[in-house]
Amino acid sequence: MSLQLMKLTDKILNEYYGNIVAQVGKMLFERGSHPLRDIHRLTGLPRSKVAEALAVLIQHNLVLVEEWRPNIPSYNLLYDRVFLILRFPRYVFLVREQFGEEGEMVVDVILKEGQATASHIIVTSCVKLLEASENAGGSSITSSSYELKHVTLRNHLIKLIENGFIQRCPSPQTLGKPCPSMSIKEDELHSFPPELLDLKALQQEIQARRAGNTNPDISHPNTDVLWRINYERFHVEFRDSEIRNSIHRRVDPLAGECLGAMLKLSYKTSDPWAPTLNPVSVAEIRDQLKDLKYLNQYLKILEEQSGGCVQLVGDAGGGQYRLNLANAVNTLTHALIYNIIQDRYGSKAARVFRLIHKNSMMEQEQIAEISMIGKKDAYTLCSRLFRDNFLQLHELRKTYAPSPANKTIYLFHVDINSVVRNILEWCYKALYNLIVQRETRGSENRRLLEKRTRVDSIVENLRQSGGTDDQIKEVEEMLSPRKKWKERRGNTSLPLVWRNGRKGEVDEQIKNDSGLKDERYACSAVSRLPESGVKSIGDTHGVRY
Amino acid sequence: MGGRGRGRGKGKGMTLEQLGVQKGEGLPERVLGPPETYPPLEFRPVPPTQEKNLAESYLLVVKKEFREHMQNSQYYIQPAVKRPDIERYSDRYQVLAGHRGQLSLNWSRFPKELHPATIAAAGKKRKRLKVKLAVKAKRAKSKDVNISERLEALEKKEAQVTEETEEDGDDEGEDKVEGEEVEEVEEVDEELDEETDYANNYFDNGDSYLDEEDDALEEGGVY
Repeated sequence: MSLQLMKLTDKILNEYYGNIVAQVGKMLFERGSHPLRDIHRLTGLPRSKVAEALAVLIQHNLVLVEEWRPNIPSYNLLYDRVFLILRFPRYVFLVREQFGEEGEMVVDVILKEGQATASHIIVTSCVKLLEASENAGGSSITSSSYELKHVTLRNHLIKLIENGFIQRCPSPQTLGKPCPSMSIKEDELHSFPPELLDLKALQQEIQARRAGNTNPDISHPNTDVLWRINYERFHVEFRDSEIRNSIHRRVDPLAGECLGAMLKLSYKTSDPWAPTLNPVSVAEIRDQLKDLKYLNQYLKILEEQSGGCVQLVGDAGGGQYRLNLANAVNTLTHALIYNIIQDRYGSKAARVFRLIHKNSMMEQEQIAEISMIGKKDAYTLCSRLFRDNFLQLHELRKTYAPSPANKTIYLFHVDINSVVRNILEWCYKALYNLIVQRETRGSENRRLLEKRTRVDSIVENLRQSGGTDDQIKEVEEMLSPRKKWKERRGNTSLPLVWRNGRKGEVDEQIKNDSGLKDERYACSAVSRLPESGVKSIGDTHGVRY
Repeated sequence: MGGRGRGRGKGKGMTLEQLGVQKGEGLPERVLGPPETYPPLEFRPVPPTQEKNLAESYLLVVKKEFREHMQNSQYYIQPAVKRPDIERYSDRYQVLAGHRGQLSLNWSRFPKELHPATIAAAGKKRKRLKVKLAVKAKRAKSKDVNISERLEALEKKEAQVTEETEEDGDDEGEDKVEGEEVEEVEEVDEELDEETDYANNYFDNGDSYLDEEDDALEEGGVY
């Protein structure tokens, strides 16, 4: 909850849902949970529009309905979820890698609708896939292979549900109440009762849609069971892949695989968000990895090199290893922070910071001595870091009497939690700046971009109707090189936004990895993020307060 | 602890030696004023990689497509179409931000107050109340003028209002009619209130004619 986050959520809602939803969201962010009539009064929007906006937000899992007074619901914005909208492409990509194109289509449809019935998901994704394959493949596709498309889609959907990526939405207990109380049983979350889908009806609807009938009146038996994505599961996957990648970089690709196997085994018996997972024996790992050579050596190296992630706890079954994810995540955080400071303030500053972080409190002279930097330099660096809240100062007085003989000792120390919060704020601000930048560039060059799309479509048509190369060249020359350069400039802001979005989201994700008593935050891998994220932070102006 | 100490000790703060600055050396410049909006960056940031690897370009495409889809979907709420005050010729050729139509959602899962049916009903009730109040206000304002005519108009209106409360059907046309009738009553008021014709300017004393002709004859052209 901060000004930067508020501006960012406002921007995101504006972009994806329009101005009215953004106003409602902003008001809920600023003032917390409110009932409908307060929202209507405070935003000044017509009641019907406020109701529509709230319905959209509820549909997309961004607003929670609670009972405020008997029979009067109040609406609470889940602002973290708004930020997660920026991560949707990553979710889609992950599913594509693990489950292929069909899985990707399913998740795509769910993300766009917020909550959807299984039949709707399958029908829409089937139609889209068939259209896409027709556009791409041409006439060489036989219809028979695609008749069973909806069955494969249904299987993919079931797989996704069972793996936890998709979960069932809570449903209202009693219908017709002014304020429905939604709830769901634990075991229903990830189970897919087969009687929900009528395959024949699905097939009929798919054929009707493909024939051009946009609203066929075919009823499916599952209008009350809606599905939505399970954000937490995706975040677990992201975190794991970051840890695996860091081990991969530090040690060896095979060590990364080792770690992956250990993670998989541990998840069978423990909750992914617990700080330490249950121990796993070497025998199990060996089974999982199918006889990797040098497994024992790898485990030993992992124990030493992983920064406290892999710990040996016993000797049963050839050795018991336990994964301490809190430590893993901490190590990654520290690495990222060092990199950020290095990119922002220089390598000397990074050295000073690392030094102070390792020894919890240090005096000015000690810092200068141990880091072997000149006294004055050390002092300026420390004060710069202090001004930007990376370091904190602690005064120690010998006595309270105000005599000049009293020497106060000033100790520098690092509070990682506040440093991480600081960096997170930077990320939000940078993201906001980047989105604004992208919008302005887009609007400046809008004419050009439109021209570009028109030229592209003309070229496409020419190609299809067998036009000669000369005609194509002529059309392309409509865009002069200078215009092309301008257009490219306009397009580059988008990658920046995405990149910084990624960094911001990784920081967020790590922040969510708390669940520990002392709330240690963590962050992501060492080398990639500084390239993508820090540069873009440095690149945007006005990131400093 | 630090705070308490500072208050009592009349803290000199850190002595210059502690700060690591030797005596006589120049201190760095003092900063006067709030920090700049665009502070100069010390180290030039490395630009994002120019070559796009496959994963990133894929993500970009997905993001663009998602954004476009959401902006064209029914979830992108647009403000209600405002009817312009005067009908203009260009309206035909301008594409007004279209009303996307009703949201089609499974309304049984939402609180009752959000259903479009309840909103419409509540809206009509309020409109009726408003008109009734307006009528009452009008009645209170002008009691003297042409009572019988006014009474007839009001009677007609009240009859219509009571009709409405019985019907459930499409009330919009009647609302409009009511609005018009209220306006008509107002117009009748204004003209009759004056009771004379002095308000209306029938006589044109022709001063403006002379001025125009003079100018036209003298100049012979407008530059």
